[in-house]
Amino acid sequence: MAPINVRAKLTRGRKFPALRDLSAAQTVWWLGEQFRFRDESGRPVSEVLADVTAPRGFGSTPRSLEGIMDTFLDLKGVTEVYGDRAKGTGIIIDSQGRRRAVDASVILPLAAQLFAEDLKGLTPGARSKILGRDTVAYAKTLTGSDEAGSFRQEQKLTVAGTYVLLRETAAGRASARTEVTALDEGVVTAADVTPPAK
Amino acid sequence: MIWVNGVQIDPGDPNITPATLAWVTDGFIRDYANWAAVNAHANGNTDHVGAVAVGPGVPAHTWVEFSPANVAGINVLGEDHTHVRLEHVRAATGLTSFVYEVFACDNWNNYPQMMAAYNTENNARFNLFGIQAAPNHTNHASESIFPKLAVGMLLLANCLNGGAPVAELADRVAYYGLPVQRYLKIAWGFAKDVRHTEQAAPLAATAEETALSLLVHQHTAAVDGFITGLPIDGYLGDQIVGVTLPHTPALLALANAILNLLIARSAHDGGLLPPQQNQLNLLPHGTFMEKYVKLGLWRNLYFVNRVTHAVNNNVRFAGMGQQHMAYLSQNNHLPPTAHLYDMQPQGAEWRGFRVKTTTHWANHH
Repeated sequence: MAPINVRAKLTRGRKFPALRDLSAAQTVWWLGEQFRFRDESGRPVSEVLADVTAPRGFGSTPRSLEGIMDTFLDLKGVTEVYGDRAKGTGIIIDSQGRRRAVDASVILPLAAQLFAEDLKGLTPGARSKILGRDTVAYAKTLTGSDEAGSFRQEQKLTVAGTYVLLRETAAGRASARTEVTALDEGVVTAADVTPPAK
Repeated sequence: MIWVNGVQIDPGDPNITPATLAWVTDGFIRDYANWAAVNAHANGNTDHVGAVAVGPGVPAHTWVEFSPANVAGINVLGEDHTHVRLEHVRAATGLTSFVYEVFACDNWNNYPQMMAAYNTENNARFNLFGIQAAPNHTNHASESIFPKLAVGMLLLANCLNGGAPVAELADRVAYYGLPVQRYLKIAWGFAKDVRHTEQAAPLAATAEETALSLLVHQHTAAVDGFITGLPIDGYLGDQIVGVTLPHTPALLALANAILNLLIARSAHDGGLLPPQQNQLNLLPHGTFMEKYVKLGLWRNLYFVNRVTHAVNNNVRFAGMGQQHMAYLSQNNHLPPTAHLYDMQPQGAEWRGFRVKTTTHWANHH
């Protein structure tokens, strides 16, 4: 099997009660075991990570009026992460240009979201075509608990081969959607996944 | 446990004093550049170092070191409000000179009932910061309460007029039913204060103040007991969802009147500089979202001024959400001497504190 070589452009959207709507341009690069992820919303690193780690699938949701109002700040800049899955190493460069080393496992979910996780047990649903690729929809149930209580809700994955081209979560007036808008294989070079010199 | 210049100290070290002897074996990481720093901390002469007790992870504390008092520049801490907050840092370092995002800077002289409600709602937080006895909480404030009151009323009115499901006010995931209840109680105190002032000098009242005063007069009997009886840190939806309340129309009318008054107030807020006032007044406020954006900017401009005030008065620490720290930094509202600390779980500085702590923990003897 050929090593992974792919670049994907994504749009992360989120609607949530009382919060400003989010629309963030993101990019994922993979070259073998090395990966890079870029978010252009100017948001803090913890919020960017929460897009893919928050258990309900809606990303970071504030627990204070101050936090709610902070979603209306106009932030600038990009957050980038670089990681090596084989070595277990990673780097975060935040929207203010500051960098720190982290375990690759911390940032891997940002890049790994491009790939379909274990689909075993999920029933294939509607078939369609996205970006010229044949896709199959799967319904996945998210369960867990957080400070708001226990939950069980559906997430829809639209999968083309090994790639998740669309990930949608909805509950009430809350919805989150991560969509691949461009997918290019064989275009990534070592320079794309190598962190800039300090 | 004590490290000096990267070396762990043993109990027999000749520099150990009675004040530091217990530290050598107590299981807490402490890291200093030299013995003078150790002794300054032991003697209670520092406010910039300490072990923050916030998990998860091993050890369950993290050694933090901010810029000391003898170095110019304010320490600005950008936090994830669900992770390490300024009160945790205060408990660890003993800092006393600070401003914090959640405290209000306004002149309360004409608003005794609003102040009483505000103090009731914030008493637990005052205790966390050790400022319950402070003569004036505004010394520790970073922002005005009025934009937040207005947003609370905006969210409440939006639910009561059908813009959003009333059930959301009870929804623990949506969450905002909790701050809406808190700010309804404070806003009701404000409304009663406006009524009192308007009655004392009706000719000096604005049209918005007169309208609100009339509503307070009409609806006090119906809503006063309901609002003032709402519990601290409760969700408003718990009280109104599924219940037919005869005073719901009164609540909606009051929320809209308070909101209208506060938006009018924002147009000539004396706490803003003329260019800021112009920037604010250029924004429309017709739709829900336009109001939201305008109120957010109102709050933000106050925030800029308060942090500048803190810098000019040599305040040692400013605590705020990381988004706000990023915003102030990106827009050059912080002086070059400011020391920025990203305290989010993966924030640059918190991450550095954590790595140092866990490295010492792994290698300690």
